[in-house]
Amino acid sequence: MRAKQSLNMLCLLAALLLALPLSAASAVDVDERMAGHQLVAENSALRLYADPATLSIVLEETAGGRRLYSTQKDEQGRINQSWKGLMQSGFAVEYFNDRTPTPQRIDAINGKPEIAFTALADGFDAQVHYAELGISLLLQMRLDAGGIRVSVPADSLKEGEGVRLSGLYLYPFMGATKLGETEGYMLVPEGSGALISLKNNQGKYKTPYQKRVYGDNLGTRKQSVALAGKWLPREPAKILAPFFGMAHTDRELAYLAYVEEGQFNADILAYPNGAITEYNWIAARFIYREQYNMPTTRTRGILTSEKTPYFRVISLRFELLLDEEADYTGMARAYRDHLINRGLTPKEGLGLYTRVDFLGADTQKTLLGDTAAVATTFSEAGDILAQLKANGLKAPLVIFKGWQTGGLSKNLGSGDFAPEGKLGGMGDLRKLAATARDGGGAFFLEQDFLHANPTRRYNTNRDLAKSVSQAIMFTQTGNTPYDSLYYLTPGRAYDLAARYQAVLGKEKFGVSVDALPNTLFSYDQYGAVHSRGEAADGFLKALGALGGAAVALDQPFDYLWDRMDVLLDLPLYTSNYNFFQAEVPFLPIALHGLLPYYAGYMNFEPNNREFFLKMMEYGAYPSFLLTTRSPAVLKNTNSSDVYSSQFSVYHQTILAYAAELYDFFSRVEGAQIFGHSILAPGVVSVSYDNGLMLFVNYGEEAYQAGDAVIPARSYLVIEE
Amino acid sequence: MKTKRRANFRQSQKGKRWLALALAAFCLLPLLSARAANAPYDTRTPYVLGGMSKTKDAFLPLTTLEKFGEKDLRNPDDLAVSSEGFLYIADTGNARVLKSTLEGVLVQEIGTEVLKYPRGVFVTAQGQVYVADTRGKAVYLFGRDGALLQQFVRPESPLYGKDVDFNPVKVAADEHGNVYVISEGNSSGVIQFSRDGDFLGFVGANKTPLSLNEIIRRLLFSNQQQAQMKRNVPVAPVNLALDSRGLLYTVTQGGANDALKKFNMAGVNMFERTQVDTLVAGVCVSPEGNVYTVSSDGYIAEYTQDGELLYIFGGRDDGYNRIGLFVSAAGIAADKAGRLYVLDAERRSVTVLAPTEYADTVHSALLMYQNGQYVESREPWEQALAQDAMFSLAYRGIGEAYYKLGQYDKAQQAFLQGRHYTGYSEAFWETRNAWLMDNLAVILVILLALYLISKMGGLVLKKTGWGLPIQRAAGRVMAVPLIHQVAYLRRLPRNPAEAFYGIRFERKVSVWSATVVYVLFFLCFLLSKYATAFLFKSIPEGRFEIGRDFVTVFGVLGLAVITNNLISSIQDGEARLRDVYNALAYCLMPYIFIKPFLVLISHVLTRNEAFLLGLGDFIIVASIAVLIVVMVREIQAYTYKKTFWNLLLTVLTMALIVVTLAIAFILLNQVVDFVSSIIREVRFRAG
Repeated sequence: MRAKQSLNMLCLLAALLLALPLSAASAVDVDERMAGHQLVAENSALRLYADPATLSIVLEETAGGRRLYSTQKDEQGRINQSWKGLMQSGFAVEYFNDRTPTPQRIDAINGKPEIAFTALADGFDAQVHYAELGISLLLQMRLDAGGIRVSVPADSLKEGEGVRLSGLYLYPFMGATKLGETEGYMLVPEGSGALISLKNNQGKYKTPYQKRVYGDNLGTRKQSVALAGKWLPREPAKILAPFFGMAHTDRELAYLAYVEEGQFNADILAYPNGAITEYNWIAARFIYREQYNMPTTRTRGILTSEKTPYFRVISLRFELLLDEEADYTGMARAYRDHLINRGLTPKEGLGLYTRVDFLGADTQKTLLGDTAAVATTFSEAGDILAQLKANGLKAPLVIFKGWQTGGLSKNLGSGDFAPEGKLGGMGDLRKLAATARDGGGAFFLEQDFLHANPTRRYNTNRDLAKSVSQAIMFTQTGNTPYDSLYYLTPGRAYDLAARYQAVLGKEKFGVSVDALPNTLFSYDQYGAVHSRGEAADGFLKALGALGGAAVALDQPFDYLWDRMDVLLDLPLYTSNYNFFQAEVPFLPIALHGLLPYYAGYMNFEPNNREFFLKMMEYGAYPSFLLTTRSPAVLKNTNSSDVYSSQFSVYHQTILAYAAELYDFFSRVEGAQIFGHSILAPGVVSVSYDNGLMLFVNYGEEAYQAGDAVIPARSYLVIEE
Repeated sequence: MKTKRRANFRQSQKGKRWLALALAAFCLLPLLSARAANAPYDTRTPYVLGGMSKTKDAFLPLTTLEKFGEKDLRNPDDLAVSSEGFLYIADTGNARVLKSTLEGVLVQEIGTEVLKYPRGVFVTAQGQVYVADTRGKAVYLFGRDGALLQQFVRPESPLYGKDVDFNPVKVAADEHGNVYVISEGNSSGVIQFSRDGDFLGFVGANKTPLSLNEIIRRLLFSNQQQAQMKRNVPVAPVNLALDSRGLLYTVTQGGANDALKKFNMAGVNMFERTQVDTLVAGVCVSPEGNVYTVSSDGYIAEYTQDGELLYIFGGRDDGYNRIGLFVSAAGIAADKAGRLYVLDAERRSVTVLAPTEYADTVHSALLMYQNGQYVESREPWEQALAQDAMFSLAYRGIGEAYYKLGQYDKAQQAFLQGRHYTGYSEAFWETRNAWLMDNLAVILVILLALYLISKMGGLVLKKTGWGLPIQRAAGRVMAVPLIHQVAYLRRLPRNPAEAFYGIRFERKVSVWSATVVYVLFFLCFLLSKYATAFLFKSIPEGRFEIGRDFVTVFGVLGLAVITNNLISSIQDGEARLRDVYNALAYCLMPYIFIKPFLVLISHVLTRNEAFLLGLGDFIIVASIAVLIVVMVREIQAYTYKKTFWNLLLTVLTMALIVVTLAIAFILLNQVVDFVSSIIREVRFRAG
């Protein structure tokens, strides 16, 4: 067997040697990077070369011979051994030992593992073993017509005494470039998508992009509490879906990568050149164990790592994109295909181009206990809708929040799903739903199944999610009377959802779910730590308990996307990292036509026109939050940051927006966004697959695009 | 799927052409500046109920300028924007001043031959540049062309101080050529030079608050000793700015209420109680007259020209280089378009922030308001209010507008909404006045009628005997022992000594009745705390802390009863614990009788008559004090001298008990902490 293998290898080597001169057209350094690599697998579209010693690979397209490398050439003395290992290996492993608090990193070169390489028809398996540390893992590489899939099975992971595996990189330097040698960009899953240029930054950016998929883990993160008088910055946006990409635009070569399995605890890292090294590289880091602060006294603690690892199957897919597909729009289209293959079925167009939310009541304290401060009653909301419809608003999506007994904040976690008496009874609520649905609208009640009001008594084991260090997790609201809220366990969230369904299921209202779709934590229950993956399963189950009700999810993580009918609060912006070259509508390209998605509330936007244009560009429907009374009535409640919502203020805006957007959105309903390009700073074009072309000009001056003129701070729709 | 994708592609050939064009454009573009259109921070504004609340963003970060041509910055410490639209940066570490366009295109390097360590830069309307060079120990004036025109060095004048050094860090100049310089460590204030370089004196020195410690030291220590002490000198300002009228602004680190100062021509600070960040580092005045400060940890604050806080935004970068957050902000400047330029010394960059549509609305309203066009400003204020229904300043603006129009009731409403006490008080005075004018006759008639009824009514009741049933009913009620005992409160004003004698020796009251009186007192306390008119209320609206009130009131009273009993029993007092408990309750009589009345009249008083409430409170306190003295003397059978000793000891003992309890609590806490940490540690190691 072994002899045959080596014979195979010899043949491959010979083939490689023969093949080399053929591709000699490319620069010399390209050859250098091929050194040690042998052809392992091949199909009609792609060839896979691999280096059995480092497991690094080269992916070559058969038609044009363009190559994507996972390795960088050796530059003596320029880079330390640790970085060199990471750059040239197909994987890297991080672990904790008893001696140092920070994780150590080893790879195919550092740590000197034994690697048993088995070539297969469509790829290879590599059994990696570090004798000294007792760490071993199996890396499986498979090639298909679209790209490669690399995975590490959970049961292949072993660790020695006193060694705690903490992280895993797979092909971190895939497509990496040095300084400005290649034109192009990296795609990061920030907001709805953002690009980092591959230009030489002259050392301008010192820090990388580094973010946990699905947000930080509340279960292990140290709770940051704002100091009096000093406010923390806004929480940066969470990664909603684990994808990333790299485009070499000058070579018309790109890849899209996405995590297929094991995404519940992973980081996306993107290093622009200047951040530690001269390379531009982007990768996923899978986390098996996290560090957390174990409090030993009330004020101090020790940094330690989790005892039980979160071992799971990890699978990362790279799709190679060529020619006209090799840009962020191509990546987004590929991602759309992936979503469809994964089971995301296109939702029938609802035709609801305006979202109108109402805020009913929130809780305030009085001398005689808590009471609901009423901003909008059910019948008032009905009147508003009737008025809007009479004035030309077609089919709105209506969501009523703060409808529960006691008001929004007090009700959290109570499981009491009766409507607040001051807002009107069940009869009024039904009437409101009928008014909303009249003429094709939809009606949803908003419910948060995750948060719990801290003034109620709970069973801290059964009901409340505790962090890995067994402290009750909370979120700071920054408002009074409840300055913090607890989190319920996924099991408890399920109970509430089931009870909700039992009480209100027969009403056939849609359910708009807040908080739960965009929160994930590992948690301790009865002394056992549950992973974020388990929490996700629990949340899925909770949503399942809602039966066949239409579901709207607030900024949901992608593991929930095929469970919803409506996506709320699609992020239109990023978190302002200075190394971003541009914000791009990656998610809109992937999602438009598959399901309706809405922008955040227009109420709180300081630049209305710009926000309007951004909604047009991203194909996102507008949202408004309304109250009949001035929101000043909520000033003593947790909703005191709703500082603008009175219907009389927004009446005309809603109608104007609806009128202006109706024409456009009805023409692109169900269509895919096909192309998107940045024509100049602040000028973009968006093309739909039904031939409609939208130009948006954010600038202060009109823009000449071919024969067409796009007016300043405006847009233009062209039929092709 | 893929084939469909391809098909789509072919289908829109024209789209492809666009795409190609766009791609080309995309690649050719130098690098689209990261144009951020949302903020990494929340913007906050003073809240109508006190504190700060979130509001719409007033400024959004637009971009950062990191390279000026090929030039990088090194430890830059100051920046300025000229009226012609150029940016000047004191590139301290590179010993030069860079002049660039507002987009960061390098125009000129200034002072490369002369400067050593320029930490301050100022540009005049004519484009002349003043530079404060700390190590060069001079302020230089450069012409438009960059030629050195003049230098200002250490004044020779004895008034400047004999051993005082000249290390200029910041500089500004008014249109007459007067130059203002902050010299490092010079606490005498801002140094003022004439156009010709003559030393004119100091302006805007900070004051040092005289601490108790300092006063004692000055009294007790000899001159020699005092000379050896660290001198109590005021903190020097860190930055300065001039507005279009030539008025001087300074900022001082340290967090006192007067950290931001605006000096009038006479050198007197016109701002009071500005809430300024303790780490304030830079200040500038926009052409419109709004004042901006930035603290070194990145918080930017905007004030009106009257020193009223409008917004706070920005903040410290969380380590990931987000545009709009700062690592070590050093200076701030504003341009004609209202944009802000913030220099970050650590990041070596300038961040540009642009005002939002919302801020434009507020600024235009503010401009009219400050120009005295109150009535005209009402509409923009209302627009601002539509966008933030709790924007306190807008309510004031609207209130002023209505006040000027003589619509006092509407003004009163607006001031109430915005919680503007002074405005409300004035508007209320007007509406109350108008009401009194309208209804004076009616009121007089009613008063007269009431007087007559009370006089005649008694007579009539007596004559006819109709009053008998009422009297009998009252008698029956009074016959209930508890009510009778509570009503004993009425006896106190007539002759307190006798009343307390009755309490001690004649069983006129019981523990039950005393308890009822304590409860009454507590209710009155709640009434006064939560039901006083908002002009005079001490606790913010919407806040209720009844649990805490209960513990405080009954804790203090209980402690007083027990302590006094302890002290009295060792001082041969005659009263039992029960007597002290009962008698103290009845001492609270004035509070129960007067306070509700004060709460009631607080609703019809304006601030002008606030002294009435003060007077009422004084009467309450004084009479309670008198009653307590009489009470102790009477029930313990003490002399006055002994009574005072007793009371003094009681108070001291109470304080002692509180301190002891606090210490015990802290110690207990420590023990609990210790035990719990052991348990945690064991569980962690074992688990």
